[in-house]
Amino acid sequence: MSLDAETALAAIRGAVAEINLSLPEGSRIPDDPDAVLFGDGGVVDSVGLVNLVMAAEAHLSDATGLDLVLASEAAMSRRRSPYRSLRALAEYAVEMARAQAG
Amino acid sequence: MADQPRVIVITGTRKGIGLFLAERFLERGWQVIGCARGAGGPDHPAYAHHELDVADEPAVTRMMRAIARSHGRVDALLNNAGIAAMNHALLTPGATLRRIFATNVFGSFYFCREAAKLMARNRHGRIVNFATVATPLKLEGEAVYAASKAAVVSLTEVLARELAPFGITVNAVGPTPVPTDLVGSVPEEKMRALIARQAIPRYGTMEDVLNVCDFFLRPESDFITGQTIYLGGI
Ligand SMILES: NC(=O)c1ccc[n+]([C@@H]2O[C@H](COP(=O)([O-])OP(=O)(O)OC[C@H]3O[C@@H](n4cnc5c(N)ncnc54)[C@H](OP(=O)(O)O)[C@@H]3O)[C@@H](O)[C@H]2O)c1
Repeated sequence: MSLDAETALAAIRGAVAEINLSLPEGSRIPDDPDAVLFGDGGVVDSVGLVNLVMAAEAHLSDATGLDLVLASEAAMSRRRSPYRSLRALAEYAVEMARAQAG
Repeated sequence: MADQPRVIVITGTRKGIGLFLAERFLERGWQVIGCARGAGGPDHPAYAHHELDVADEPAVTRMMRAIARSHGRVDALLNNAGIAAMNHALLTPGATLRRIFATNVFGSFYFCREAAKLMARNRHGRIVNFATVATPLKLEGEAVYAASKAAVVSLTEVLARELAPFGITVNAVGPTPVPTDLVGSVPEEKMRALIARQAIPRYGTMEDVLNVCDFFLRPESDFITGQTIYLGGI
């Protein structure tokens, strides 16, 4: 099954909503797909990022049946990191799904 | 959740120590999910077998996601699958290195990573990796095997720190020689010399390995992480 950007973003926002349920007000992850997530000026620390990526993988898997791994060597790169925003993560998921489909 | 049967993933359950461990956990009422390149594992209704190579990253991911869907949890992982090679370093081809590191290091890492994702959901989990006394004994003829297991020890120590915030402990057991196919090709004389270097000079048993796993899995061991326990007094 292929994955489009809209489906990916919706699944990732679902993951954010789930995580926010257990976070106190003030430390919730913004739903804005372009807000800076991780890195300089980001809202999540590394444990928060791991939680988000795990939840995103699970939501993407539920939505599409795809078993994607959203690990990336570019995690620390300011410009290329797939973790810099929810939109970047969604784009990365689409790219991974395409690679998996061959 | 506490009254649901506990779920344990054991790699390398077709034979040897992995098969023994799977049988013991089944006897105790655990749900056991195992894997090996070949078919097999215990014939038991609470056992599920996945035929895969632990070094095949997508296959490992698929297996763990299937467990997420079928069981919704993993309480413990025993990263037992492993291979060895006995040869002088100067006679060891690159292919041997790739094969041994792929199974022992890459395979252990993929299982740690994917199991930890499931464990983190429940903020609880126990991972036991498999080391060997060949590393601290600096065993001649086992340079590649010993180095691959040194990497496993190092992964254990760092993952212990990275996974602690998720309630997951990561430890390792380092068996002495246990009579299985793994050591079958090592000459008897070499084996005797190796065992003589232990504080307690005898072969290890599968029960000895299980005992250390049990210790790491006990609820009371939640303050024990990043440790490698060697058998036999190394
Ligand atoms: N026996 C000893 O003296 C001793 C001493 C120190 C440490 N250890 C460690 O203890 C662990 C178990 O050893 P053992 O003696 O039980 O070995 P074994 O009898 O050779 O069994 C190894 C098991 O792992 C599986 N396996 C091997 N490579 C695999 C791969 N790439 N993907 C999936 N499964 C794989 C095998 O099944 P398939 O062949 O079907 O894949 C088999 O079920 C190993 O990590 C070993 O390094 C053993």
